Amino acid sequence: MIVISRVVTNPVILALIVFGVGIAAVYGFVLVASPILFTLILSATFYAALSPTVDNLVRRDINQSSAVAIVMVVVVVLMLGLTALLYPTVSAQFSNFSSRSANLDERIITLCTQVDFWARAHLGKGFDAHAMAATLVQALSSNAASMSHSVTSFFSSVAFSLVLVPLVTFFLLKDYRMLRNTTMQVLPNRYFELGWMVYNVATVQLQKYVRGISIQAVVMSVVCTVGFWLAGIEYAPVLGLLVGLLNLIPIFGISLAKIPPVMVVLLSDKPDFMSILLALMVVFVAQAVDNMYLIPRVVAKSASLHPLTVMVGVMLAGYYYGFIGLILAVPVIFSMKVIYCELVSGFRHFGPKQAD
Amino acid sequence: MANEKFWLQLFQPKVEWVEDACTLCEKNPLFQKVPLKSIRWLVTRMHPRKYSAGELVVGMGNSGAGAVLILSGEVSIRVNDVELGRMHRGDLFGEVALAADLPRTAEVLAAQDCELVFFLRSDLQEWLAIMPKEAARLLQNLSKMLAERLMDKNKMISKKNDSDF
Repeated sequence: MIVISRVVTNPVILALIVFGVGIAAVYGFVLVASPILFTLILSATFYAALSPTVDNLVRRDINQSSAVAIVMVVVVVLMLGLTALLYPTVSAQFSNFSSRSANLDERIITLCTQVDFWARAHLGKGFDAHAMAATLVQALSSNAASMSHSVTSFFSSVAFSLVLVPLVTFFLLKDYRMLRNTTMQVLPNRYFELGWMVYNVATVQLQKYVRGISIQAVVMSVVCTVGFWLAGIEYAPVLGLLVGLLNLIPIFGISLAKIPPVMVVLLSDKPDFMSILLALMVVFVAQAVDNMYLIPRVVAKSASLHPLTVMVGVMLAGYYYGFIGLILAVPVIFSMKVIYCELVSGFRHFGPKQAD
Repeated sequence: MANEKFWLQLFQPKVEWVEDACTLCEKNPLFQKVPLKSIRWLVTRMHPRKYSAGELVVGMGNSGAGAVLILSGEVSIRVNDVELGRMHRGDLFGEVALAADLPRTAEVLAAQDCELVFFLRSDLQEWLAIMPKEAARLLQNLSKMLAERLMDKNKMISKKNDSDF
């Protein structure tokens, strides 16, 4: 009996129990909501991005519902306009790209022959261009197949969500605070203040982290787009955006980010060794900026996780949830860490007192 | 039937207590010169709770998430099991927690069945971001209240020191 009472009054164990129940509830929700999970994540992101604008309108004496309606109409019109403007170009580029990818092996052989020719002329030594090309094609296709599957499913989820996202975002902007307050009312009186404190600390830290990685993704995308454009590589904006997104994946992103630009150069009209070098240099420079400036100043301050935790988490999330899992792994692990730490510290103050 | 009530309440603010809380806030020095429209906006974001007689509302030494307004009932303020006083309908306690995350300086117990409304620090911060002018007025009132309390304490200490000598 004394042992049970000690276990129940120990803040660490109490926090573990509550945390476990919370994780089970979230897991159950993820299972049930899996067909629309991506839509919900995208809507939550839009909610976070648009709620300051709604607040701004409310500050100017416009009521909440009208403010939400105004913001949503502007966003939907902008999205439709942008889609109508970009769709023909993007579609033409994609069909052009897929027709080129049919003869990838021929292009690699031409490239290997070029390098072999250059090596024989300048170094006096060459290699078997065909054997080298075969090895390269095999390595590239295995990497590219998995990446293109993940990226394609990511973009198809985006396309599927386009209809639902504005609706869900509208209701989130209108009713999220009320829904949150009503949910928090479920807490027992004793833990009401603790619940709010955990929620507030976790949201503030998560907001800081998400803001950090968003800045990182935007800066990386801009640097890469400008770099690819200066290097004369095709599809610079799409490539820049893709490298910016891939770079968000911890540990593995640094290698994955180099594949798309190399593939684009290989599939261009005149693939040459110099262009591949230039494409790789752009990614290296962007990653140097990322490592020297962005990570220490913007991201690292907000997330302090052990590398092993990140590595295992990213691998498992990638295995179970694909590209979305890879990108969301760190924010999710980070939130779990913040919530658990806050629960432990909260139960030390608010929990039942331990018997001496 | 109960299910229907739950779903209705999920998306509709309960207005019965809002009117009452607005009237009480309007009379409280913390909300002095804050426009009624802003008070109403803020009150709709506050959190009503019910406590039974004898239930602990605020534990001494615990971190505080915000201030508490008494809608009905009576609470007892205690330090080390000694009752310092009682608070009634319309009174507000725990204002220090609106300014900072500091430990509560006294214990508050429900002396009767109570209806309380929590005004959290996060609500104030949200309000400060959306309506900075009105929130600044409330912060000014809060600093005035806390400064007056500090002066009272100083006077008490100096009186105690004088009587000791």
